[in-house]
Amino acid sequence: MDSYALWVLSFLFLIPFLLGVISIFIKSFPADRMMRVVLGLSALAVLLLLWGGEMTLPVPLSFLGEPISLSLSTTALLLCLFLLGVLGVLLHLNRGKSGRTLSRFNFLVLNFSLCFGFLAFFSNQFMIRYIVLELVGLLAAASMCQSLTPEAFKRFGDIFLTLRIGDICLLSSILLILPYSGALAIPEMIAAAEVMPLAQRSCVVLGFVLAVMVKMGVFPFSGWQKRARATMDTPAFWTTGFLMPALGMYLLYRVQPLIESDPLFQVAVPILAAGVILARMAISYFGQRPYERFIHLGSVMNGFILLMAAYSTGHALRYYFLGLLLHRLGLYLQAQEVLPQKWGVLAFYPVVLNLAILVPHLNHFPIALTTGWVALTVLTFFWDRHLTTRVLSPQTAYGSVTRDWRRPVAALAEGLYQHMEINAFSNGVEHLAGAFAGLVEWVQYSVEMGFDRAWAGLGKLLNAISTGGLNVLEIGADKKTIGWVEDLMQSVEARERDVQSRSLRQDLIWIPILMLVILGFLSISQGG
Amino acid sequence: MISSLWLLGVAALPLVAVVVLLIWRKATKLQAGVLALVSEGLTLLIVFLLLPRLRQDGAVFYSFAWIQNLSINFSLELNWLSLVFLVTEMAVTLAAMVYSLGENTGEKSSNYYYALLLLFSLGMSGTTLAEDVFVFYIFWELMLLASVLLILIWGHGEERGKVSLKYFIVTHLGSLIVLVGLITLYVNVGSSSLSVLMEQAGSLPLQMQRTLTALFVIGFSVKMAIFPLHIWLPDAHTVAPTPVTIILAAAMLSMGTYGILRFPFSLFSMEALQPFSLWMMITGLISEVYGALMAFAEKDVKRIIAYSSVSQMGYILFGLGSLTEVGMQGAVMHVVYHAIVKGLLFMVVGIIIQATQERDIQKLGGLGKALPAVCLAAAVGALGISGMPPLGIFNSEWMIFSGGFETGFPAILTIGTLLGSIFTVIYALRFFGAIFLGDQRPDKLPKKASLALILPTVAVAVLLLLGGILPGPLLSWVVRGVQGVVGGL
Repeated sequence: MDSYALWVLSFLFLIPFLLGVISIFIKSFPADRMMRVVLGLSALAVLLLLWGGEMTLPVPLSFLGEPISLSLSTTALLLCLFLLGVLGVLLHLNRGKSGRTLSRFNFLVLNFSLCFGFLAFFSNQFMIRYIVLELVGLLAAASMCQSLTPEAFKRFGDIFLTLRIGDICLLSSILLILPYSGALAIPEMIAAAEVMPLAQRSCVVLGFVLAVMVKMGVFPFSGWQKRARATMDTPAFWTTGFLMPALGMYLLYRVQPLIESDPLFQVAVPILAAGVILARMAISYFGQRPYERFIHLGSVMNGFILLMAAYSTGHALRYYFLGLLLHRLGLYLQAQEVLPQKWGVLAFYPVVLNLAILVPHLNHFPIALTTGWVALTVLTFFWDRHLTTRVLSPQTAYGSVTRDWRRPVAALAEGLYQHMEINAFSNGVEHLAGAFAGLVEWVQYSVEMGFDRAWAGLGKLLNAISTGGLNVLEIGADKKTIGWVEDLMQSVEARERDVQSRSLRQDLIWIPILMLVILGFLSISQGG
Repeated sequence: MISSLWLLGVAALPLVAVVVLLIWRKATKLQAGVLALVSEGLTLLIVFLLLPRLRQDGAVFYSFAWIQNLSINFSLELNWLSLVFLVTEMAVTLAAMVYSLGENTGEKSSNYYYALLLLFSLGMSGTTLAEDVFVFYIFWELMLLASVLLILIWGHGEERGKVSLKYFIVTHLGSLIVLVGLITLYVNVGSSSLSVLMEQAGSLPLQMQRTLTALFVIGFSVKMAIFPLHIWLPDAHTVAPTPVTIILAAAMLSMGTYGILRFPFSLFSMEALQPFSLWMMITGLISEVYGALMAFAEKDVKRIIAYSSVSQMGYILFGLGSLTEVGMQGAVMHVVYHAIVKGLLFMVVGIIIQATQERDIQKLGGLGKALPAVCLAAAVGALGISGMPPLGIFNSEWMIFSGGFETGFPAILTIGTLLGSIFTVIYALRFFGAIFLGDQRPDKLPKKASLALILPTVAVAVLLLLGGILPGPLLSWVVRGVQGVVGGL
């Protein structure tokens, strides 16, 4: 069974990958037809794996000395199957739009996304999972580059950077656990993390939760989803709109035991979830930007997943994921004007979904969580309903919906909107980039050019010292020496002239004569 | 089995080629280049031929008496650690020599140009193979002299005299600090042989070990261009002809890493090294962030990549400073991957400068259509330097960060380094986007990029991808090399 499953999995990974590579080199590649073949074969393979049941498969490969293994969980397989269905819908819509064919670029992005997406779902080892998540992030960002314009590249950069921040959070958590687990297998790592000291475990949980929030596009990390809507009418949107959030959900599913490992996290994560849901709702409600249901309601609903993750609900979480993805698809179809804008099912759907999960687990959840959940569900319903109506009604101006009783809240929300949504988040990247550029220029001027100035100053100082030294010690000394020598020469010459000017003293001839006489006497006396 | 005498060939063969080049004054650029390439290629072949011997014995050793009165021998040793650095350095030199053939460098006095390239490479080979501290230092200085002359004679612009002098003075100061350490070791242990030093240096007084560690770390950090000792690097990299820049950035910087591993880390006790751990990690972090910020602010395309070296060396110092096996392995892996990616990026920059005659990034743009292969190679390089899997640097960064988390220091230090890597992504994206996307600037390319430039560039891009996907062979060398270093700790 294991080897059969391994073959099917290899097929699942390799077919899209190889076809993607082949499409790069063949100009007249039949992308549309081949995409349908890939989709059909992939769905068949996933169904076969579902039929085989859950299992963990060791792979005879390793990376950086770490063994690789794959795990087939029903949750992952169901998510994959659902995502393939969504892709089928997107492709069908693409054909429906005046018979557009799938471009090679979209084919490449989709096939690589399929390959790495499947790997991310089935990897039982954190390093491989991390690598493929990064690659899916790159593909999600690359899907913006349908044309090589600066605007497209800016969107690429924004999405890539945001997803990269999530990846860094994920990597930090993985590497924090690694010294405790000594292995990268996900179950072992989670088990080791559950007994880590609370301080480190808090960092790990924070890293995982932030990574999940980024990937699911939960407030305040929903900006990348907004930018991704530029490609909403192409099938490549599947990667940003569906695959990436689903991978975020599945990541949460894998690390959920960690949130449950301490009461602190069981309180903190739902509070965080409620906070991000409320903030998203308040900003959309009081904001002046048009309400985009797919982005805003999608982000709010993803926030509910964090609420649910605090307590184990067994298989319910899996169905909640599927339910939310279905809701997401509905929102997408509405945004694409396939479904009517006033279709009431989509408004009631979140309420039904949340109640369907809550009711069977009433005894399981603490009362505070249940109450909060119900309150947020109801609030979400009215919030969505009001904003949808506001968008659809001709009087959509912000001022027209503000009433007196709401003024304090409106002021708060206006402040929140102005400072958080506009200043911090919407313009945040630009502000940050501006501040960053300013900081960098300052650092460059003060420090780097400071080094240059210091270097130049050092050079000048050295030059001054050496010139001074040369002037004082060498040239000055030289001049002085020359002066001394000249003085000496002059005094010698003067002496000579003085001597020469005097008359010869003949009386001095007696001195050598006398000396010779003395020497004569001495030699005679010794000889004697 | 091949004799250990062949090890001498690694030093002798380039020397013979240098002598021939010096005599052969009428050699054309192609003739000189081919001779140098053959010599370097054969030298690399010798290294690979010695591999079975290395596998069998764990090291290949060759020695003969040199200055007998002082008991100094001309000793060379090929071990797993030196192998990694040696192969990296030689491969980089080979790529730079091929690149030189397509570049407008060394048109005049080609024989001297290639002779100096060979001497530069010989300096690095000798440094990695030296088993005697004095031999080490001689090759260390040869490396410096050859590179200074290459910048001085074939460098760009009027400033090359000043820049080469600055490069010489600053790096030489570092070398002198290293020399003080080497002499102190020799005087106190009574031997210049590294194997003897490895046995006995650990028993030196703890204070002396720490002082020597400080000297070596500072001295070698100058060569690594770690902040704030990097002041020589941006100018030298910018003024040097592109092939020389490639060797400087991709190979010579790594000699500092090798020095730190070979001297303080191999010789002294963990007790002596421990106090430096935190400082090395903090300095590494600062260097990483600072270099990335400067690369973001810089407008000269060559200087952008030069500053990125300062940043990347920060990662390496961080990994070394962790004093963990995995951190050091990551640092050594990073040396290799950095050499590949930096070689690639400088090749890209060289092609752009040659094709556009422009270095200011603000005056460039939209070159993706005119230079598609270069654009693709640059994309690989930009993603590679950002640590994107599966492009090599991801593997080494993973190991470096793992090492960081394994230390007893607060996790925030490693998390800070991880977050600092975002800056790398920012400057890499800016570099790529500004040059290759948007409206084409300049409108017409004054020159076409030759195939001799594009081919090695694309080949290096493929190598970066392969090196990332298949890290196994490199990792096995690095693991054995680092075991040799930290085995005694």
